[in-house]
Amino acid sequence: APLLPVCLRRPESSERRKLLEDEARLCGSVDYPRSAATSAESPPRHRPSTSPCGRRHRLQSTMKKKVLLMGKSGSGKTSMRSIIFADYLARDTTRLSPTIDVEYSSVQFLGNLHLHLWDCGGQDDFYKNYLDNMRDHIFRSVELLVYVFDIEHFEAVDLKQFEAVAEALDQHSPDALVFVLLHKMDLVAEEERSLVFRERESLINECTRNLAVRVKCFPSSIWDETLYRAWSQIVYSLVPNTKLLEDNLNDFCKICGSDEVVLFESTTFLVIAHCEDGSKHSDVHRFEKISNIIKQFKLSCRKAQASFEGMVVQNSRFTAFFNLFTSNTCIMVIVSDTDIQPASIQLNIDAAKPHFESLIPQTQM
Amino acid sequence: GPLLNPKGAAAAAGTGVFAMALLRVKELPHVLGQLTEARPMPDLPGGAPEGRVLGAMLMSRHGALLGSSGFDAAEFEAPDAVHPSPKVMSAIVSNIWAEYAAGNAPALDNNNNVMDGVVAAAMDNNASGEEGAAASFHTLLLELQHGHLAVVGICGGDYLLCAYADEKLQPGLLRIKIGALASYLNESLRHLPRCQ
Repeated sequence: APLLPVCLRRPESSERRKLLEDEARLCGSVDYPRSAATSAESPPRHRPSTSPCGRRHRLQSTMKKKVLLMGKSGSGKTSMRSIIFADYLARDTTRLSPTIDVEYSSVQFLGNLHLHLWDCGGQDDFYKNYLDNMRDHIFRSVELLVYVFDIEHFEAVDLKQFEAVAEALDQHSPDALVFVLLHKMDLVAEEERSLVFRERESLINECTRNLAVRVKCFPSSIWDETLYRAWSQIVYSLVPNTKLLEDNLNDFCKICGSDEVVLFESTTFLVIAHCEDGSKHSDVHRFEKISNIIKQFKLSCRKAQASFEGMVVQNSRFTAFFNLFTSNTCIMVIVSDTDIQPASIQLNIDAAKPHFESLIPQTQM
Repeated sequence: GPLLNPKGAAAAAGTGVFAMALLRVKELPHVLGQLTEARPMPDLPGGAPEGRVLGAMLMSRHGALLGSSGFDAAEFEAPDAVHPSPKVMSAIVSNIWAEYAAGNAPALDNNNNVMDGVVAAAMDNNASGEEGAAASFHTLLLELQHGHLAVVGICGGDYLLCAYADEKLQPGLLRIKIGALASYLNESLRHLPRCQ
């Protein structure tokens, strides 16, 4: 069933490796030395790959922004990753050493943004290792840190680990944003969720009180829309000039006589910008539903060796247009006015592409 | 009102404004309505000319309908209608246009204006059309059983303007009417980016 998450249990290392190796072919990869990074060795260096994508990455390396995804082993990062980023993004992984269970992978979205996933083992040794030896390499030039807590494992030691990470980040990237996801909230009884969340949130705010980095907490669960909402906020924060985008989208919406126009990031289908003309839609969860449906459809297209360009869905009440828009986005236009011909909307979507293409790179500076 | 958003048109004209040029889709039927709406005619010797334009539509080169005006359901969609339906019309018109255009590319004068030429063809008896003296053409006039159809290429044929009139309207007058709107559309739509 498409709406169920792919990972319901922690994947075995062999499964995980296969999953990630399959995607390693797709795009340029960040190479890390395979040997164990003991304190004697230098930190991993970024070596541009020789694939075409890799060459492009090298040229754009100055524009790359880093998003770190960290959290205790078993907190749900891989699960989250497969839901939000589906199974078909460029990633690379390597193991630091047989004894230290660490995975690095890199996911590209929103153009030149790289999500570096650091899936770390539970051993204290590991944390000590990358907080000491690789500290500046990891925590330098970070745009955003997403830290995942398993709501059931929120002991003092877990908080201490987070604090250490936050301090390292504060030291090397004081302008970074920190999004803390209090994950697996479905395991908390519904009536207690709000209270539990606020308690944890205040603990987190307490330990980051003296830091320059801005911290924001979200409850999340793979079983409802909270995960999508949290990640939408995250992606939204990575697009600085959302006002500019939304103003232009508004113009587009009005000129097309459409009911609603939504701009999705084309890999994750998270909402970047959105505007409505007139009455508010009743279903606030429609974005994650659409996101799921389109992602599944894209996957099916891929399996059939076809690439998803766009589609038009028409019923008695409205016509919905989905189109790959700019290089990183997909646009959805909803038109319920039956006097408007579909071809005219398609014409406008094509006409607006170059304009938005020029807008969106600006927002990534 | 204008067919393109004013900021977009200004931007496309190169005035330094940073905006996208889009088609104001709700305005299109009104613009096309200039052909179909009844207008007061001046007093002419011999009385006012008879006949009217029953429907006008703008389509893409490939026959995808962008907007229309007229084509009253009672006259076109009823089971006993004598006139072809707009959908059928747009499909056939775009095909015919492609055929003629393939053989006769429009000639441009020194100012890059498409030169006027007329080809008339009888649609119902397969007679080969009598081509105008000039090798170029830009208006297609078709005499159907119960009406006249005029098709004009806009922006070099990227769009097609089509007007269907009842048989009482003289083809010459139909051509003049559609020609006037065609100039306006050529001027408005040329600012849209060519993506076809």
